[in-house]
Amino acid sequence: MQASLSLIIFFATLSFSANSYAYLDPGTGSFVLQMLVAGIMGFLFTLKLYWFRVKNIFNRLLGRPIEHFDLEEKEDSESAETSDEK
Amino acid sequence: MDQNKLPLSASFRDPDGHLFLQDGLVYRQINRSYKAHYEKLMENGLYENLCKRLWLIPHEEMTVEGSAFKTIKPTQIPLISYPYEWSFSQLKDAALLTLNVQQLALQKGMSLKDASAYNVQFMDGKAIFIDTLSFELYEEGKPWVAYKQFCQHFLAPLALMAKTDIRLNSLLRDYIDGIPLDLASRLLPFSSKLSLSLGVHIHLHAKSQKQNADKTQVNTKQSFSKHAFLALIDSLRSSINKLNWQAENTEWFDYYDSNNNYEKDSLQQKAKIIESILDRKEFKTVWDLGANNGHFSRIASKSSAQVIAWDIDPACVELNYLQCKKDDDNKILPLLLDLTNPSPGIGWENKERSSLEERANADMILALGLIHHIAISNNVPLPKIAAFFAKLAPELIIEFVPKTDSQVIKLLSTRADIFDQYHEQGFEDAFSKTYDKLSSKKIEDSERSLYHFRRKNDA
Repeated sequence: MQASLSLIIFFATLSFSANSYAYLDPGTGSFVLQMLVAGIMGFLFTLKLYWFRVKNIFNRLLGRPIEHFDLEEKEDSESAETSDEK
Repeated sequence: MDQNKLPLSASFRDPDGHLFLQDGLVYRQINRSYKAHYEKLMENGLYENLCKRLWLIPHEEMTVEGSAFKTIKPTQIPLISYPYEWSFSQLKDAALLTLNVQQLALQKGMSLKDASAYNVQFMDGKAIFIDTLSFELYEEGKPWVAYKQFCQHFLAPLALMAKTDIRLNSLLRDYIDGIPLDLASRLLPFSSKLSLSLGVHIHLHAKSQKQNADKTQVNTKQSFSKHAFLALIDSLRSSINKLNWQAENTEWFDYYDSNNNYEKDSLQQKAKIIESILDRKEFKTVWDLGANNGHFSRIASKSSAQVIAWDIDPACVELNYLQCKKDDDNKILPLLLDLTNPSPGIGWENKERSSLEERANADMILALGLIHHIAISNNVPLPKIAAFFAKLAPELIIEFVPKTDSQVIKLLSTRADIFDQYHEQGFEDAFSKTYDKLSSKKIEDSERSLYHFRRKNDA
């Protein structure tokens, strides 16, 4: 973790990774930030997904509606609203 | 055939294709460079799924000419509107739609290559994604190329509107690619730095941009997994969902409740007159200027017409939109407009985003309880008002509010009355230059009169 973090922080100029499909200028800063927080965000997201799974187990037991996270799963249920229940 | 083809002035940045106008209809030309992406979009079920949910605008494939890969005709949008004309919740819904589209795309192996607010339009009262060419094949490993744009077009203005001042979405007029993050960071209150979402996506983001401004590419052995990508989308969605704005305490929001100028009978009489005029023929689009909370827009929408409900007050537009959502109303679109300073053409050559006048396609305008604000509060001479309204639509229903009206008495109480020509006769004379009067009626229990005009030289 430490090693990859320092790698991110210590950059070297390299040739562009040829992304011929992106006509948009992403801004190096935005790329760097995403890489920086990817780890912690991914971890928190995993926790959130597990929490949803636990909640759904209880929902099933108590006969309450199941909350969906995956947008595709919702195709079978009536509503096509955003999956974030907050 | 080519002579009728006019490339649309906003559509030139994407080498994968562009929009053009032909015989009054909008088409999209798709170039060979986009072939693989288009085929995936259409064949893996993503297009169908998005259209079924009413998230993406459907299109028809047309016969191709020349070197283009494909030409498609998207469903035509009745009125193009821009993010600086949207209320808080409209921008929020556009943001959430973009994230939903991105999430669904990712689940089907694709990703949005841009997240501009101009990729969203409102049709049938709801936000819909219109940029069919925005989808690209997803290559796992790279972070989201549109992350910065999403933050500048959606997160920053919404945060500023919710936490600093509701009027700050007007910054979107000045910054055509969204509000710069360093500016948003400076304008947001200190407490926003303590929020995990805004702290990362706005403040840290702005700092990272500044720090890396002179760097080119980052050499990193770490890659951005699909899981991290989904985590990012989820984080952005939470950030947007957490932003809320209470629509109240602005100048106009409780106008109809607190105002005793509107006796119930006179409101009903006005409503009847408007309904009968609108029922006389097929009006396709009605613009309700100074619509406030949409009271008369709803009456107008009982006819066949679509109604655009314009108002200067963000709270009115917001409350109107929330009401429309509650009613599932697909005939009314509330939008923000300052008539004394309407949306100008902006962007490259001032033509990328059109001015209000350029987009005016109404058959009828309602100008109720409005003229005294323009003529007296804003000193605009009546003939100029008439000329301006005539540019927007061929017919007009307008309420003349005389100096004996209690609202005008209030307006004139603290200023000199320099308005010699502001009376019934002066009004009729001013409007007779541009319009023919079809009818007029004094409203019971009020000093006001309702006029129905048709533009001269319009059969």
